[in-house]
Amino acid sequence: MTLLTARGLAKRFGSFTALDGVDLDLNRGERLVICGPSGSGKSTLIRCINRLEEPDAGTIVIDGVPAKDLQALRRRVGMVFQQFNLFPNLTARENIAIAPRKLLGLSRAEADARAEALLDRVQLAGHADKPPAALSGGQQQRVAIARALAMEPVLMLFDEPTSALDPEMIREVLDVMVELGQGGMSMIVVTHEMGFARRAADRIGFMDQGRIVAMAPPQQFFDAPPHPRLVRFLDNILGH
Amino acid sequence: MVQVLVRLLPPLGLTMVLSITALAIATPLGLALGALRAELSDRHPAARAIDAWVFFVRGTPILIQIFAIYFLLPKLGLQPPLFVMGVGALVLNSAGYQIEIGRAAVKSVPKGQWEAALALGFDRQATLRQFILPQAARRMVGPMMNELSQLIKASSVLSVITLFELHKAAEAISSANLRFSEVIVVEGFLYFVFIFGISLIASALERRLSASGALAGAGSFAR
Ligand SMILES: Nc1ncnc2c1ncn2[C@@H]1O[C@H](COP(=O)(O)OP(=O)(O)OP(=O)(O)O)[C@@H](O)[C@H]1O
Ligand SMILES: [Mg+2]
Repeated sequence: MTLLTARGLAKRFGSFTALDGVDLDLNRGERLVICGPSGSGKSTLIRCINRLEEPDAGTIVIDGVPAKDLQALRRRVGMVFQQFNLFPNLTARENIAIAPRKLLGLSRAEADARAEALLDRVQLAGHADKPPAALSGGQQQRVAIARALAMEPVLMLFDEPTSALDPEMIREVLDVMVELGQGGMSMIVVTHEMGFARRAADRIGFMDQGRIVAMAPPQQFFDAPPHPRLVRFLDNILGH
Repeated sequence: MVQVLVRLLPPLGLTMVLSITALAIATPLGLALGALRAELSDRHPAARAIDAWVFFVRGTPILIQIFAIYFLLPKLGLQPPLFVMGVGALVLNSAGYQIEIGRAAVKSVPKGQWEAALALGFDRQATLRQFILPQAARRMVGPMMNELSQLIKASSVLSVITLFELHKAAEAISSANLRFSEVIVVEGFLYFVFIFGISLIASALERRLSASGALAGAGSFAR
């Protein structure tokens, strides 16, 4: 069953076309990985889905509801950023609890309990009282994932969640994401971690110059790349 | 010398009360108006009013600002006590500078903080109030202490409206005992000790805040 339908998404920055008429469908529980060269529009695409970027043209329907009310839409779509963007003046627990408390009307006790449970789920039980500055990059990113999950979203967006991490911390974040996907979460993940894509994706899309030019399940994507530019991209990234 | 010092202590107290009261009003006002200014387009009427305030304060000596309050308020039918006029003049002046400090502090909070809160479903106003202003306020601690020093110095000009603060008191004493240089040395010493003390507190506070990571990426907005 379809969760998200995007049609004809377009976005320009000045005279530069960042998104050039993108169509995208996502089924409930589906895990979609998006990759592509720098500047191809990957970030712009997922930022248009939760309208951090306002598309110039096109329609987005999530869960059968056209995205009219911005805040309502964003409460149902979680987002994880490359730079974590945790609130530096709040503890890990407060980072996670504040949105459900302020936006969903949970009591402090309920919101804290939800935060603790999520910290446990991302393997960070015992770190609840630390501010972000006291956590490693990998830990901060896992708190950021927990923060997004605290709103109980129907869809999670990830924009290069491991690109800012030291190599030894990438794994711990990817593991959390794999588990999230196995638990049935619908996800769109922009990443160049091809191991993750192979392991966890249902489909992989390849973007180039503002369009999705190829889309296939992992096996076909890697073994029989359906687009010449994708062949070159994979050669570069996999170091063939 | 000691006698002069002792007689200058109560007026020094008034100087401190004037400056701190003005700071306590001007800082939140400056942050609020600065945040508002950061959110408004240049052409918005409120933005123009705020800009005019900043322009006036920066473009005129504080003496003119004090007289503006002292002579214009009664023309408008208001006759507040001297202390209120004094604080009013200092607030007028200080907020004019702190609007710029507040605006810079709001702008210095990384865009990612806005995006994180907006992506969770907070609207712009709630994001500003809940996440951006608290971080901006921390970035204002250093400039604010600097502003207190400015205020203490500026408050000496309030002697022109016969407010009996430190400088007025020193004037009164020296014109009575005619030992001008002695009084000036003591007066200058008192100003210096307090302003220096404040700068020590300021750098200690800033060190603590930056050690806690609260000021990551914060710039400096000293005048
Ligand atoms: N706010 C903006 N203003 C102007 N140009 C922008 C803006 N955001 C993105 N762009 C441009 O749009 C193009 C696509 O950007 P986007 O961030 O979507 O690419 P990307 O595929 O995510 O690249 P990367 O792998 O480097 O993150 C880039 O050339 C970028 O310079
Ligand atoms: Mg990007």
